[in-house]
This record gives sequence, C-alpha cells and structure tokens, in this order.
Amino acid sequence: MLAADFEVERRDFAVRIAIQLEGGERVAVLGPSGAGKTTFLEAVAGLVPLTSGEIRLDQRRLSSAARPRSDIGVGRRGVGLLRQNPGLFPHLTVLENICYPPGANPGAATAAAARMGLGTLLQARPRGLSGGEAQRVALCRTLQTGVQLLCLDEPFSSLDRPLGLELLELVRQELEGRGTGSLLVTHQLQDAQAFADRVAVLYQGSLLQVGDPRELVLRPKTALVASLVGYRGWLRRGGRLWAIHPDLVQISSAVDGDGAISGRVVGMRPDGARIDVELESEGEWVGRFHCPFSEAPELDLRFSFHADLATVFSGVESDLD
Amino acid sequence: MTIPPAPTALRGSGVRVSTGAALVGALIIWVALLGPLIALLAHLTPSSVVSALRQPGAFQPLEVSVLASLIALGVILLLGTPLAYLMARGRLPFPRLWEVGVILPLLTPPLVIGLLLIFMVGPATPIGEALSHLHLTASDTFFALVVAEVYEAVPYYVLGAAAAFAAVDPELEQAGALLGDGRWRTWRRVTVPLAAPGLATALAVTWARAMGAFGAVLIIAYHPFGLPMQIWVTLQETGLSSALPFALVLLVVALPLPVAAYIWSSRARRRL
Amino acid sequence: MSLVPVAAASTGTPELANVASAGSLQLLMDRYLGPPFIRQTGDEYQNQSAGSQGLAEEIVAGELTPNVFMPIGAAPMALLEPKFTTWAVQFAASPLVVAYYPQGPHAPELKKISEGKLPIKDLFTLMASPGFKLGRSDPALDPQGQGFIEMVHLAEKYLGVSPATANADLGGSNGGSQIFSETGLEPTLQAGQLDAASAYLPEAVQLGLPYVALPDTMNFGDPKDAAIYDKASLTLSTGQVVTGSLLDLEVSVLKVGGDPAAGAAFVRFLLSTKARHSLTKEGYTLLPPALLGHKAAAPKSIRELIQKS
Repeated sequence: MLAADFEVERRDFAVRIAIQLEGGERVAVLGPSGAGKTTFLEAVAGLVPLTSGEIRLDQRRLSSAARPRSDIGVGRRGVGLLRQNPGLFPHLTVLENICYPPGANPGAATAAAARMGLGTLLQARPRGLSGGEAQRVALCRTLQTGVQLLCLDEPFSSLDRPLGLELLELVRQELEGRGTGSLLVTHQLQDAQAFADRVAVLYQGSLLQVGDPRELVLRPKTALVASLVGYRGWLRRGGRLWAIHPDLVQISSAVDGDGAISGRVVGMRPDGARIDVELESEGEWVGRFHCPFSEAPELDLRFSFHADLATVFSGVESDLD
Repeated sequence: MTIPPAPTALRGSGVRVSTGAALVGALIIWVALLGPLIALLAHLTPSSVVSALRQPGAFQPLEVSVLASLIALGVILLLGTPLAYLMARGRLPFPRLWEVGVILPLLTPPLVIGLLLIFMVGPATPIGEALSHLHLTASDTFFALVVAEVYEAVPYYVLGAAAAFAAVDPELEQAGALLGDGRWRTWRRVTVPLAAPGLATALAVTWARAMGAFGAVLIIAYHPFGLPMQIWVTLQETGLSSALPFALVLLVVALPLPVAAYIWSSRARRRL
Repeated sequence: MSLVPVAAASTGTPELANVASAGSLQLLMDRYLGPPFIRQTGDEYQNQSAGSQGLAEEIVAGELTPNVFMPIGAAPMALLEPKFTTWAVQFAASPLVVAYYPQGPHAPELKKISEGKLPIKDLFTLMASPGFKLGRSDPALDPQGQGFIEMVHLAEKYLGVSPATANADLGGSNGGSQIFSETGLEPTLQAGQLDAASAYLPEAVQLGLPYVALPDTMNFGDPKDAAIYDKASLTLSTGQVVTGSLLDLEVSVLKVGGDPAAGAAFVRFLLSTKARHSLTKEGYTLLPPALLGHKAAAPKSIRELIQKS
C-alpha cells in the first residue's frame, strides 16, 4: 500500500527511508530522540518536501523530489497525523471538532465518538478536556477523514503510562476495525511490540533493521540495534562482543562449562514489585536484570549463566557508538 | 545556610503595596484621559446642544463622517487583512521592510500625510489622472475624505490585526490542512474565528481613528465637512459654545461601535 | 513721513504686545515686523496668525485675548466694535489677485492675461472652463474667501462677464469642492494640483507664485473704489451680511489683553518708516495712515503720529 523510498536532508544528517507497508499493516518506528522519526512521518504526511526519491500510496505518487510541484497537498493524501499536541479547535465543541473534516458524516462521527467513550463530552469545549480525552477526540476527528494510513508521532508520551497504553490499544482497535494502516513513532519498545506488526529501528536517519517485533529483540542484527532494543550488558571476550539482555538472564549459581559466564552480584535496588540487580563479570559491569523479591540474591553472590543466552557479535556488527 | 523566608505578614503587605500603587497609577491616567470629556459635559447645557443641532444642515456633517468612515473601514478591512495575515505568518520577504512601511504613516503627523498626499493623488498627478478616468478626484471631495481617513487609520488596523493573527497557533491551521481543508476553508473556519476577538478590538481603534481624522483631512478634504472639520470651522465662525455640541455628537455617534466591539471581543475570548 | 523714534512702552518692566493678525501676515510678522519691534522697543512680542474672520469670532467669544488685532478687511474689525475697541488705523492694503501654477496646462494663457496681451475678461472664461481647477479660501472664515466671491460678482457688473460664467467660476452647484482650508490652499497650488487659486498680492509675492492682477475696481485694494466695492455683498452661513470692502490692513489696540502701552507701541512701530519699508517689499500697497471710527478714543501718541504724517 505504502511504498516509500526517499531521502530528506536535515541539518545534521539525512533521513533515508526505504520501506513498504501492506494495506492495513501497522509498523512501529523505534529509535532514540533525534533519530529522524518525526521527519519520516512528516515526509509521509506531506509536511516536508523530499530531497530525493518518492512516496507512493496505492500507486498514487504522493511526493516526488523530481517533480515537487505535483506533490499532493497535505490533507488530500489519505494520510492522517496525530501528534502530542492534539490540535483541537478551541472555539468548536467536541462534536464540531469531530465533524470538522470536509465530508464528515455526522451520524458515523457520533457513533465513533460513542465507541471511543466520548458520548458524554460531545457538547464540551476542548478547554475542559483532560489530555487523554483530547487525544481521543483528535483520533476520532482524524478517522472521519477516511485515511488509509495513520501516522502517530508519540501522541501519548505526555500522558501517564497506563493511560497512554490504554489509548494506544484503543487506536489499535479502531485501526484494525477499519483496516487502516499505521506508522507509529515511539521510543518505547513495549509500545512498538504491542501495537505493530513490524518494528523498524531508526538511528541517525537510517533504518537499521525492520522485522517482527520478537525477532528484533531476540536476533538483533548488529550491536547498535541490540543497544536500541534493550540489550544492556556488554562483555568483550576473545575478540568478540557479547550483548546481554536483562530479560534473558537467569541467575544460577551452578553453571559450568566452557560457555559459562560467571560474575557476581554487585548491587540491588527495589523497582516496583521486583528487584533490580546489578551484575559484574571480570571487572566489567555486565548489566541489570530483574527478579521477584522472593528470589532476591545475596549481594556478592557469585553467578554464572550460559553463554548462548547472550547474543554475540563479531567484526563490523560489533560496532557501537 | 539558607535565608529564612520573610515573615508572612510583611510579604503580604509588600504585595498589597504594589497592587495599590498600580491601582493609583491606573486611576490617575484614566481620570486624565476622561478629563476633557468631563470638561466637555460641564460646559454644555442641554439648550445649547439643542439649539446648535437645530441649525439647518446640522446633521449633514454627521452623515458625511459616518458614511466616509464606514467606507474607509471597509477599504481598510479588505486591503489590510491580507497584509496583516501575511505579516503575522512571516510569509513576506524582507519582513522588517514591510513593518517599517506600516509604521511610517503612524510616525508621520497627519498634517504631513495630508501635504504628501497632495503630491501623490492630487488631480494633476499620474494617480490623480487615472482616478479622473473613474470620475474620482482625490482633492476636496468625499472620495478625498475617505482617502485621508484610510491613511490616518490603516496602520492601527494592520498592526492590531497582525497581532491577532499571530496569536492564532499555526499548528491549528496545519491541523485543518491535515484534515483535508483547502486554504480558504481553514482560514474561514479556524483562523478568522480565533483571531476575531483581536480583530474586533483592532477595528474599534481603527474606527475611532477614522471618525476623528483631522490633520490629513484639513489639507486634502476640507470639503465636504465631516464632524471634526465642522467642529473646527464652527469654532472659528461662532465660537466654542456652538462648536462643542458637535464634539458631543461625535462622541455619542462614534462610541457605540468600539464599545460593542470590546464587549463582544472579551466574551468571545472567554469562550475559547 | 519723517522718521519718528518709537519709544519703549514703559521705562520699567517690558510689556507684551500680544498680536492676533490675519493669516497671510504670518511671514511678515514673524520675520520683518516682530524682531525689529523687539529690538527697537525692548518689549516682548507674540503673534498668532489665522483667518481674520475666525480670529474676530474667537475674540468675541473670549477664547482669545490679544491686545492688538490686525485683520485684513473691515468686517472682522467691525465684529469687535464697540466692546473691544472703537477705533482702528488703516495703513496698507492687500489687493486680491489670482495666483497660478506656472507649469500648469493653463499657465501660458494666464501669463498672457497677466501681461495684458489678452483681455482680463478672458480670465473668467478660462476659470469657467471644464477641468479648470480653481481653489479659494473659506468665505465663512476669511475675507479673502469673501472677497473672491464678491470679485466675481463685480466682474459680472463691470466686465460684462455673463452670470452663467460667473456661476461656473465659483464652482456652480459644487462650489464646495473649490473651498480649501487656509492651510491646504497654497500647498495644493504649489504642488501643481490646482491651476489657480485666490491669493493676496503679498502672498503671491512671498511664495514666488506668478499671478494675474485684477483691475482696481475689483481687487479690493484701492481706497478710491470703495463705493464700487460696496456694491457687492454676500450672506455668510451665520447670517452675517458682508459687503465688499477694501482689503485693507487695519490695526487696533483692544480693551482686553492687558499691556495697552505695549499695544500702542506696536501700532506706532507699524507706522514707522522701517515697518512701512518692509510692507512695500513684501508686496503690500501702502496707504496714508488714517484713523477710522471713534478717533478720539485712540491713544494720544497714535493720534499725534498720524497727524504728523
């Protein structure tokens, strides 16, 4: 459905994207701040011109660097955009906001609003809405435009986590129900995994890896990707780099053999209903992992774990910034 | 060692003193501004007002002023609004130049504007000759009065309207575009309603300025008489007591529009 | 006239000659009469120039309190009698002319008329032609404005100008569009946006504008033609009827305004050779000083001065 193969020059680096989305597919774009995620979405939404390449949606050429004059205008691309600022029109009621898009059907709009829990707020003004309610209105409004692809630029990052997750789930349901595709920008891996069919890792303008959410975490292609998907511990051994993911560490006091990595517990800290444990191996800080209170190890406990629970990189792939 | 906070009593009175001082200052300036009005009312007797207004043709200057000012306001709205919007959105090349161009007439004494307008739109100038093909003369005519009022009043509108447009969040206009609006629809349904309170107050000031225009009018549009000119001439013809009633008429007629605009504007603002 | 020294108003503190004078006298007063007066007498001096009729109204209403009034024409002075003064000295005249814009399309023809190569009657035909832009000052406020209208009526009587032409000269039904404020009239002419305008001869001289002189019988500048001038009249919007009269410079010391000695000193200065020389240079027609009105009421020093000359 979406065929994007383009480049946008930015001040510090160029954002280079080559990706395709099937109809109704949801892709999450994961990366640290400044990676170019917003630029990516803005290019797809038509807010920035392309430096090279083009973007197509279902054979329609939305943007082209070669022929910028024929770029399709922002509201007519079939692409919607939700951002941290919901952009509700303060002088209109919630219902008027939702029905704002040209060609919006008031009946369908009202039904959608009810489905999203906005039924009692239809006559309210944006000023009186909470952050979560406002984003729901913004979502409902955008969906009235009949978009084929919804771009989400971390719209819930300013809300508290549980609410953010709840809203993300709401979005997912609505999109699923309509068969609308989506590009979700996030820096939270969990959100990406919960929401998307595929995850794309973006770093300094380049897509490092695109794939199934689980595959990405279990088999990152490079150490850089590993660092972006949650690997926290690093060990250099025999000319190779070992990446250790805290969720994949199991402490056992008796693992032997060639593949064992041994070390000791050097710190512990409560973290909600579990404990954050810090490990060291051969003088190197290896990382943190969690365990329940009931399984809290002793400080200075010697541990070892099996090497094949770590992911190993060699050569070029072991490049880390 | 940290400095202990000021005792609550002292802190409170500090706030009281500065609020009090501000209030006194405000009162002084407000009374000063109203002083001339109070003087006017003190010097008018109902009979003098009635007899002055009973003169034949006494209401002619009123009609002239109101009509000319309404037309001037319309011209200013039509031509000044695009300029104000483009200035506010920074879409004009060399923005400082445009700003200076709007402020210059404001800095120029109206009398001088009038003198310079002679050179610009007088009957024997290129513009004046072009106007004469449209059967318009910008010298001592109703048309000239409208021109003089526009020149005296338009900077106030443009500056006020630009501020009103600048206060509209550009992201809202972008939101409209993203939802499929054409430029015009976003302008109509988002920009203007949100800028409207500021536009209303700008218009109020502009109207006041147009109704009271005198300096440029004295030079290029002595005839037909509007109210300010009527006051000026009557003053010299028959003296203060017969001129002041017209000053009262000017105030009574010109005041409702700005007051209404301000009331509407503050109500509209509260709804946003 | 012999040179008469003008003594200081008083031997003690300087007094103030607070003058209200006709608008067209501004330059003369500020540059050629005021400073010499100050130097010669040591008195203080202050001048305000505006339309004579308007000034008279303001004095009557108590808004202005000068101690010397110097209008052009008798009508403004008449307004002040008898409450503010009962006498006046007539000392010069300021005849009416038609000044014109030298680079205008009608300038060549106007030049010929002014040189006598074409009859003066042609002036009126020319002014009546469509597209001729004529300006004049407000008759309600200014003797010049009144004089211009009266002049056109006299032209009807004595030059055989047809009533239709005369009407057209004064703008017909749209006469208002010919009337300019004093402040605006001359700049508009100088900028070339008028073809011609009413003016006093001294004004035209001072501004360096070419002009068409009018016959003595209708320029309100020759005392001998007073009877003719009298035949033209005009009703102002206030109801006051003004008859045409000599556009003379009159001066009087007013009962209000204080410092009568300074006022009288200023009048004596006006009659001095130096002052009269300045008047001639600026284009005024000198008249032998004459006391009008209740002669005995004038200060002795002034009476004596006039008798001597």
